[in-house]
This record gives sequence, structure tokens and C-alpha cells, in this order.
Amino acid sequence: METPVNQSELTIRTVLDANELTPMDATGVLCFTLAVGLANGLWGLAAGVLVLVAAAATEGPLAFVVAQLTAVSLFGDAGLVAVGGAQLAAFPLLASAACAWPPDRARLARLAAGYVVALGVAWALWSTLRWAWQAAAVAAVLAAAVAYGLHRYERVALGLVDAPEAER
Amino acid sequence: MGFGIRLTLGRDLGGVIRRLRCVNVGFNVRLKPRPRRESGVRATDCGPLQHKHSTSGARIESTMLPTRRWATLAGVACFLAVYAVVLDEPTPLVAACGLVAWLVVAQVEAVGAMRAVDRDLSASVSVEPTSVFVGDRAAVTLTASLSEAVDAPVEVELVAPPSVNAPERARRTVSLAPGETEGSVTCSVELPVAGRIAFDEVAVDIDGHAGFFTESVTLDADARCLVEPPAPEGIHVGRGGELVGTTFGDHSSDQTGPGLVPHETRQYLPGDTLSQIDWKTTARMNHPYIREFESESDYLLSLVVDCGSHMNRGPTGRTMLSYAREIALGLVDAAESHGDPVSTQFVGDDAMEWEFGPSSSSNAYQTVRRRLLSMEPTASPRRPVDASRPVAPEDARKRSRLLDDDSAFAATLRPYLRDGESYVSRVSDRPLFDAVKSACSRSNRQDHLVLVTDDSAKVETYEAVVVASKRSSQTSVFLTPTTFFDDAADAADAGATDFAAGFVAFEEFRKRLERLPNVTAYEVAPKSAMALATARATTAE
Repeated sequence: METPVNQSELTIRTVLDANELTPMDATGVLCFTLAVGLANGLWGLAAGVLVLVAAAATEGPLAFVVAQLTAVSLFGDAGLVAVGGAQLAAFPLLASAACAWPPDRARLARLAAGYVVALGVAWALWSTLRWAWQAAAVAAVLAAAVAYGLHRYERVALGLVDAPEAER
Repeated sequence: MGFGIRLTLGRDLGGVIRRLRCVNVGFNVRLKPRPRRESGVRATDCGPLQHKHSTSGARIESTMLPTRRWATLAGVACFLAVYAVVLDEPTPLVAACGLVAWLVVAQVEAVGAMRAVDRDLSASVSVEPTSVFVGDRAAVTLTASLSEAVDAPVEVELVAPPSVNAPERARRTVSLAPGETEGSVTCSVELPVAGRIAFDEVAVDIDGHAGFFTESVTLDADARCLVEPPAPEGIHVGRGGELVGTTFGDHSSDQTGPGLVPHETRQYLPGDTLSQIDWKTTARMNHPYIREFESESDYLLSLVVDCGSHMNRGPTGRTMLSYAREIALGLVDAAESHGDPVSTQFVGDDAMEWEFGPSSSSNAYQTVRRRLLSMEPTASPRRPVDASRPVAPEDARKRSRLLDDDSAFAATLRPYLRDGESYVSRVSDRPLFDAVKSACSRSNRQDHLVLVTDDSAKVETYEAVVVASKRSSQTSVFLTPTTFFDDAADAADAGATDFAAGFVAFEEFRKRLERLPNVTAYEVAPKSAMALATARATTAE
């Protein structure tokens, strides 16, 4: 889906052509704009426009990150429903970066499952732990543990672990 | 695989190959076995690659590494987490966890793809031909196949050994896009170093779908190629196209004289000296008897090897000098086996390059052998055949008759062409002639002069052999036909007439040499070229 951009002709047109908006991007922008617009009015619409620009002008998960940063600004004192709704609305932006269009359903389902679990874990940590840094630290440790576990699983599955080491 | 030619050169090297135990002074010429290039093509297939956990014990090395893309996204997640701590807001932390979820899902998918590749990938490497000479090229084929398609791009690269000049990576890599199950690539590699070259590694690069992870796997292969140093492929030593028979000879003599080994006892004849009388037999038989002993031979091998630049004809490692070297090595081996003293002279373009002996010590044979193996042709540019060479007297007289006009050119040249003496003096200046004369004058006993050269300087060679035939007990001349080593000889049909004519001229020259007393002339040539020349000469007839 990506078209190489000739750097010597870097115009808005060429950039937009290179970062062609997929239906998933459009869905993400629309959902997010609705979520923040309903809660914050014009500021929410402005945030939606900002996310639209980011989705059109950049590739990868930058639009998702921009959406999260605007959400921080707009949902400072919001409740669980508002924040959770905004996060779910932003998911298509992440899915657009993670999956090509049309997306593989299995991959999309795995990503959605992982995203929901991550949201749940994050919210649980934030709710149960007293300090923000504790929640962030525990989340980082959990992420590292999962990644390392997958790494070890890969080495064992490929038979790259010697027998004595495996027995230990 | 090798070959050996044993050639017995009798005293009358006129072509009679003696029986198993020669009753004549002889030399065993044994050409050292050399590895021979295998004919035909045979592929060495390493078969499906086996992994470490398989029973074959083949190796697999793997490193799964995150990419820069992964690092970027992880950095953004960390930034959001720190941002959440700074603001004391849960939203950035939730966003960070969302990104981490993506990374984890990508890692799960990458592990699945790598397991699938590990399970389904098989690759084989084959080399054709499996035996080449240094500097030759071989075709290496890498085939990779997946029993089931995987959802990740896979690149299977042939890892070339350091001693191989291989093409760039893209030309020796099989790229399997997601969904593809089979691919093959054949590349040509140059093999400049002798030895057993093993293509024993195949590198497999697997990229995770999202580009967050890449894995490099090294697998064992077992394709091998034998690279041999250049050497004469098959040597024909013969006379007039006929191979000289093979036999073993024992260095003994049928002559009687002073010695230790009793030969026979016979009755006294007038003229026998008193010291020859065997008194015990005389007393027993009541008649004077003489005991005779086998005379001991002390046979000097005078080896004159032409290493002029003209001996550099032919492909690398199979030049005329290579064939000359093989002959000389065989002669030295034979002399060593009989304990005969050896003197050696290497003759270059303009002067004697190296002189040694005569000596029969073990070090002497080693020295000669070592020098023969390191012998190189003279570095000066090739001299054209017969250029600046002396002209035979009859040719000179013919040319002088052609100069029948009164021009200044004819008047200047005529005295030189009519003067037969100048011809002799010019030949005597040539290093080959000088070396042969020197070798003959050195010996005052039975000797065997062996001249190893080519037919590019016929007059000089002929005159040198004339001198040798007069002064030496026996003379053997080993000639490499120049026409066999010219580039034109390689062409299939081009120059076929010239090739045959060149061989006929060579054969005439060889026979001319053999008409000299005590001289035997042999042709030394590649077997294949000799067969071709014989066939073409037959066709021409």
C-alpha cells in the first residue's frame, strides 16, 4: 500500500499519496473525533482534525500517539467511561499501523485481544497502586517479563537450548 | 586417482624397451602421480538441512533480534509511561500499554513464523563440477523450499567460504516472499585457492511481519568441491604418437670388468692377465680358469632443462614448462633410485639460469627436485618462434641465391648469408647450445644427457643434440610440440590444418634428431592434444 516518496518532490500531494488513508484510518479518526467531540465540543473536533492530519501525513503509529496525547489534554479529570471510550476509539488507528489493508482477521483479533488485556492491566494497576510511578514500573516489568518469556519459548521451541540448561 | 608412466631408457635409447630386468644401463622415469580432474559432472547434494535437534548433529545458530522499528516504538511507549508518571494521569500509561500490546502481539507472530520456518524449510546446496583446478569457476546451486507457506519473508543465503570469489549477496540468495514455497538460485563462483572447499553454511534471514523482529539462522550444509593446483592433466611420452611402453628396469649391466659381483668362470684365453686367473678353480679343474665380474656402472645423468620464456605457452599450470618439469622430476627420481649422480642445468632465454652437480648425495636429489618444482620460465617476453634464431647453412645459401639483384640491401646481406662459419659461431652463443656443450665436456665417463625443451628453436636444438651425440654415451631429447600449446590449438576447428601441419613439422624434426647416433627423441604432450593431433593428421592424410 505504501508508495515510495520521491524526496525531491516532497509536496502535500505526494505525501498524502504515499500515506494513503485506509478505511481503518478513517474509522479510527472518525471514532476518536466522535469520542472526544462528544465530551469536549469544539476542542474535541480540533483534536480530531489534528489526528486526521497526523494519520494523513505520517505512517506508523504516530497518529495513535497523537490521539493519546490529545486525550491526555482533554480528559484530565474524566471518568473511566470517557477514557475507556477514547482508548477504544483510538484502537483502529493502532490497528491501521499494525495491519495492512485489508487486515488479516486473525492478526486483527490477536491485536484487539492484546490491546484490551493491556488496557485492563493498565487500569487495574492504576487503580490498585498508590503512586503513578509504581504503576508504570510494574507495567514495564510485566512487559519485559512477557517479552523475555516469549524469547525463551522461542529458543526452546527451536531446540536452541542445550539439555543441561533446559533441565535447570 | 592418478597416473604413472614408467619409462625405461636403455643405453641404446633407440626404442627397445627392455624386459622386466634390463641387462642394460637404464633409467626409470616415473612421472609422479598427480590428482586428475574428474571427468563428468557430479553434484554433491547436501540434502535437506538438518537442525541441531535432529539426529544428524548439524548445527543451527539463531539470534532473534529486535529491529530499530521495535526500538522506536518501545521508546515511544516508555515516553508515554514517563509522561503518565509526570502528569500523574492514567491515559498515557494506557496508551503505552496499548503500544506494548502491539509489540507483544508482533513478537508472538514472529515466534510463530520462525517455528514454521524451522519446521518447514529445507535447503540443499550442490556444486558442479565437484573437482576443478585453481582459478576455474564452479556453479553452486542453492535450492530452498517450504513445505507450507509462512506469513513472513524468508531469505536463504549461500554463505561463501572466504577463499572463494563469490558474487554479491543478492545473486546468491533465494528470497521467498510471504506465500511462496520454493525458490532456487545458481551462482558462479571463482575458486582461486587450492584445497577442499566446503560450502557448509546456509544463512536464513526471517523478518517478522510487522518488521519488529528479524532472525538469522545458520544451518549446516555439506557441499564440497575439490580445487586442485594446476598440473599437467595427462602426459603423453612417446615417439611418433606411439606411447613408450611401460616397464620397470633394474639398473644393472651385462658387461664384465672390474667389480664385486661374479659373472662367470671361463677357460683362460690368450691375452687374459694373470690377475684374472681364479686359482682355486684352476687347481680343481687342472686347467687355467678366469673368473669374471660384472662391471659396475657409474652413470651420470646430465639434465638440461630449457626454462626460457617460450616454455610458458599453454594455460596456467599446464604450460610446456609444466610438462618438462614432470619429465625432469621423473628422471631425478630414477637417478636417485639407482644412486646415479646428477648434474642439472636450467637454461633461460639469454643465459644459464642455474647449474648444479654432478652429485649423488641425498641432498643433491632434494635440491634438484626443489629447484625443479620452483622453476619458472624466464620473465622476458615471449620470443616468437624461430625469430632471431640462426639460419641453417643450406637455408642461408638458398637465401643468398635469392639476393640476385645489385641493390644495396642485397649487397649488404649477401656476405653474411654465404658465410657458413658465422652460422656456427652464432649457434654457439645460444645458451641451450652452450649448456649442452658444457654438460658434455664435464663428463669423462659414461653419461646420459637428457635435454628437455621444445621445438621452437629447431636449429639451436639440433646443433646442441649433434654436439651431445658426439660427446655423450647416449642422448635423450624430450620435446614439447609448440603447436599443441598455441592458443589456436584450443579452437575446435579453426586452424585445424595449421595444427596438423605443425604436428607433422614437429614429427619431422623429431625423426631428424633420431637419425643422429645414440640419440632418441620423444614427444611430451598432453594426451588429449596428442589424440587430437593424431586424428587430424589421419584426416589430413
